[in-house]
Amino acid sequence: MKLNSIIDRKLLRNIDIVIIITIVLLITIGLLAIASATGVTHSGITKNVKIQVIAFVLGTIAILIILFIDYNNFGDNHKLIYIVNIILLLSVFVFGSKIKGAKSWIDFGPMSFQPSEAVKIGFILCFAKFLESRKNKLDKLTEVAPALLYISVPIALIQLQPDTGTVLVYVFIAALMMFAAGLNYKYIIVSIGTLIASAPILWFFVLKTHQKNRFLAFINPASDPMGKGWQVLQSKTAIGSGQFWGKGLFNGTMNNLGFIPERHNDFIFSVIGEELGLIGGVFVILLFLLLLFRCIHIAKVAKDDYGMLICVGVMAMYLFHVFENIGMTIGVMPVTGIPLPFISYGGSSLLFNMIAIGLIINVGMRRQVIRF
Amino acid sequence: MSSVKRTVKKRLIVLLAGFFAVYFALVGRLVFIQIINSSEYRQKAMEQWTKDTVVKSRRGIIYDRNGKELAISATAYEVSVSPANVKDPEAVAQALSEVLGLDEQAVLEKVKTKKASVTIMKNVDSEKVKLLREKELKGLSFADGSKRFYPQANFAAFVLGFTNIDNEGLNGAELTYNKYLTGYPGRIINMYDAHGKELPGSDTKYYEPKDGLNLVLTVDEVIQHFAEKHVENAWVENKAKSVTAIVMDPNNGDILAMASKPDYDNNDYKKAPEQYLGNWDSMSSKERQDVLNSIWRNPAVNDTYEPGSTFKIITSAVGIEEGVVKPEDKFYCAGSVMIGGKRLKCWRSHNPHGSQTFVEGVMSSCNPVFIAVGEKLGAEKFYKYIRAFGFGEKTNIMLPGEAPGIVRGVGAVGPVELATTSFGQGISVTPIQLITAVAAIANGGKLMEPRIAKKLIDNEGNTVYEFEPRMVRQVISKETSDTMRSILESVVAFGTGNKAYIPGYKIAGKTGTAQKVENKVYAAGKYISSFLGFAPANDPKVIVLVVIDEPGGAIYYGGQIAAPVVGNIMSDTLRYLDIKPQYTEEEAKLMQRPAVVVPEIRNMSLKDAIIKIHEAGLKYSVEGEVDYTNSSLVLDQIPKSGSNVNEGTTVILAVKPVEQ
Repeated sequence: MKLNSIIDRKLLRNIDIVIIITIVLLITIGLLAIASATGVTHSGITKNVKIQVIAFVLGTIAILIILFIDYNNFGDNHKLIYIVNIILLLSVFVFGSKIKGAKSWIDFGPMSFQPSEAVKIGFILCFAKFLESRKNKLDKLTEVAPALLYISVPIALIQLQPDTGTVLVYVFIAALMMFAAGLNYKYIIVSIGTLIASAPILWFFVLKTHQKNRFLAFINPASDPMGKGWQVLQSKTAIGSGQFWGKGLFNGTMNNLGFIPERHNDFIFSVIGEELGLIGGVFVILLFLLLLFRCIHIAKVAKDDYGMLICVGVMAMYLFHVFENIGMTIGVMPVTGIPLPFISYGGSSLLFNMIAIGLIINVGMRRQVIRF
Repeated sequence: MSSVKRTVKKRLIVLLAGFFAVYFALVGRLVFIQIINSSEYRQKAMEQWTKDTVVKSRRGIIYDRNGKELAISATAYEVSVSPANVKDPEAVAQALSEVLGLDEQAVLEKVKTKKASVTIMKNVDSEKVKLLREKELKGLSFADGSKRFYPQANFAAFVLGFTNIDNEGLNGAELTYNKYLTGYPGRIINMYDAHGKELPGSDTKYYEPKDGLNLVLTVDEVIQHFAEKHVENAWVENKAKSVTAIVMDPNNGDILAMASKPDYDNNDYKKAPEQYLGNWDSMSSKERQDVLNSIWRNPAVNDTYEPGSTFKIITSAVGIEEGVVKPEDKFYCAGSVMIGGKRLKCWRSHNPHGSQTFVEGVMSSCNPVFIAVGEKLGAEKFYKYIRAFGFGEKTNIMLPGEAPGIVRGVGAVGPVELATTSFGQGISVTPIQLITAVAAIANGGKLMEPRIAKKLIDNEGNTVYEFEPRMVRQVISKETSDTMRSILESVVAFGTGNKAYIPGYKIAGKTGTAQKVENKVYAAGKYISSFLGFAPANDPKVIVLVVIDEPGGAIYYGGQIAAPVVGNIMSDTLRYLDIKPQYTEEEAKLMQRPAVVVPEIRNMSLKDAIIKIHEAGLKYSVEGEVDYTNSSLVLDQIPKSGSNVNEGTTVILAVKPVEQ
């Protein structure tokens, strides 16, 4: 392990302040929204808020630790990370508890933890290394096929939990990383074509009834006014009734009276939309956009392709989460259990999202080694 | 290496563009939901967390012109259940079914429904509500409401009308003045959370209901009583299909009374009418509804008839107004006239009136006299006046379902039609039209819009709105009106209307007897007898029309059966209105004659009957255009046996005609 340059002041100067400000703002908005969603006005600071604050503190410590470690240390140990990933994913089948039909959580008493959240980071770290070695050779099937094989093992394990929403996140992350690594356009076209062609097969043979129902409810929310469709209708009603300025923080009627489902985690954006209005909603979206800009920027200036690919992977992860989560609350995406990064309630989710940010800052800190 | 770097940069820029597109889509969608469609979502949100409870307003009271209550609203409650708050559904269902007399199973189902609130029963009286309250069951609520109540059953039923279970007016003034009587309901808005629980101490908003205004009718309760009483008697005595009376103040069009029998009980307007009680249970619901619809019809306003001789008042007034006839003009009645190749008979063709003045013609109701007047007027002029008197169009009395009547177009009036119209056939009118038109002749020529409501008052008695009398038009001159009054006075004093005569009062009037038209032909043996009179003749204060539909007795002449009813109503009314009688010397003498009891003479031979009548100190007269002998059987008599009359009163006899 190269534990050098721990206190290199030049490195500290390279820390991306914009990213830090952005995530502090997002987490603050998230804490306020969770407080509101869990009824801070009548029951005071709730357990959820406290857990979220603890996760934030832990996350901050985690970022600090990560900053001292050159990210290439992770690359050097990519095989170990891959194996740990697989073990973690397998562990759910042994220790996991079933929540909402999927065995994706491990219960640690006061806190429960979703291994697939942690594995996401590990997956980005090792797959980036895997791709770096094949960079710009991804126009040959002999190089593409191993990559697909590499990612298919963790994806298959998650699908077995089953947690299709998370599978989609992995596929998206892998796709963007391969794209950034120079995947030949012909493969992209072929895979998109295959996806479209296989849609009927997916529909009739692969997708389970509840998944199909989700999709149908997405196409026509009124078809399922009691289930998923109801959630979307309620969410849209809450956001729409917030109008331009919102009803004011802690004053959302739909929120306070319990008309928004899952309002402190998956549907937290409905609370923001209702209470802070279009202004609040667009502000949150702009913060995420700014965050992704910084990620792209760091990807561009990264000193090596490993760092660049880490950034792209993390960025893909955020992008997918943000679009899917906000999209479902306003009815442009089907309902899946994907939380909104930094904002939705969930200790392990916040912790690992912050660790991912730690990696981005890490890459950014260690850019342009040949400047002097 | 540099080309590789460039590829990466290009691809990162592609990604960046992708992010932009994605975020733009999210923001666009947010704008759509939060700005463009926001009011719809706001509305939806409101509906979810608030529940509106309507607080009924109190329906206004209906008063007679002197402040007597004719329709009031008694307190009643609406019992409802909020299933979320019910702890023991079985106990609640049992209590409700016990007290309210409902099926327990049905109530239990309602109690278990997943709604914020379910109505169990409306119009529950306070006694039952008290019983339920004492049981202290959770989840029951009792909303204040009111139930319409008419203190006097079967009283002014057609003027007042009735209301349905929701207190909406369905007939009569209850319907036409509904918007003033209902007021504005109030609201209680409560907030509920997603589990249907009311939020304690939340912003409950209460909007107070605004009570309905109280309606003061022009109807006088006392006069209405007189009318109801005499109409009922006439209905029973004459075994008529129906009897209708309207009492009006001719000067301003105020309806003082409007009564018809048979009628219905406004408190229980769906009750089986007595005449259908026998087979009510075997009738289908449609048949029942048809019966009820017919019983709810107000004959004074909804039904038309051929006025017959009462219409001669109009013909006379038009003739005098137009100067085609003067009271002293001479006419000759030969019993019939040939018009357009058709022989039109006088009602007394077996004993023609011969030579007579116009006034005598009116007194004897001689058809040829009016045919002549009609001819002199010509169709154009005559029909112009008929329409000016308001025939053929609604009078706009504020009662539902008014019929406009039928008046021929001038183009369709040939000599025969002109002739028949002049004595009141071939025209169809409503009782309210006829009395309104004759009121104009009595009051100096002003056609007044008949009025049933005087004003609207609030609960403190302050006038909120006054319905002013409305003159439609001046139809004839004051001079013509004066002349008509004296002519019509002589009809009662000396002519066919003498049965309406009341000692001490100058009464003017005209009889009418018309054959009923059924399916466009005159129905044999079915008559409508009527009398229209006003008093005092020189300064009319009251005008009364009585229409007897299908009298069942042998005597059906309006002068015989309808005139006395008008006389009775008029006599009671004039005394009540404190219009002092002015007896002539002759009348004063008559008044001092001892009262005698009319004997029973029905089913006697005419000879025996006459002996009995003379023994009692009475006079007699045989009714109708029939041939009879001394041995003819007496079928009917007026007045009935047992009546108290003054000595020297004439008893009218109906005798069985000799078979020819």
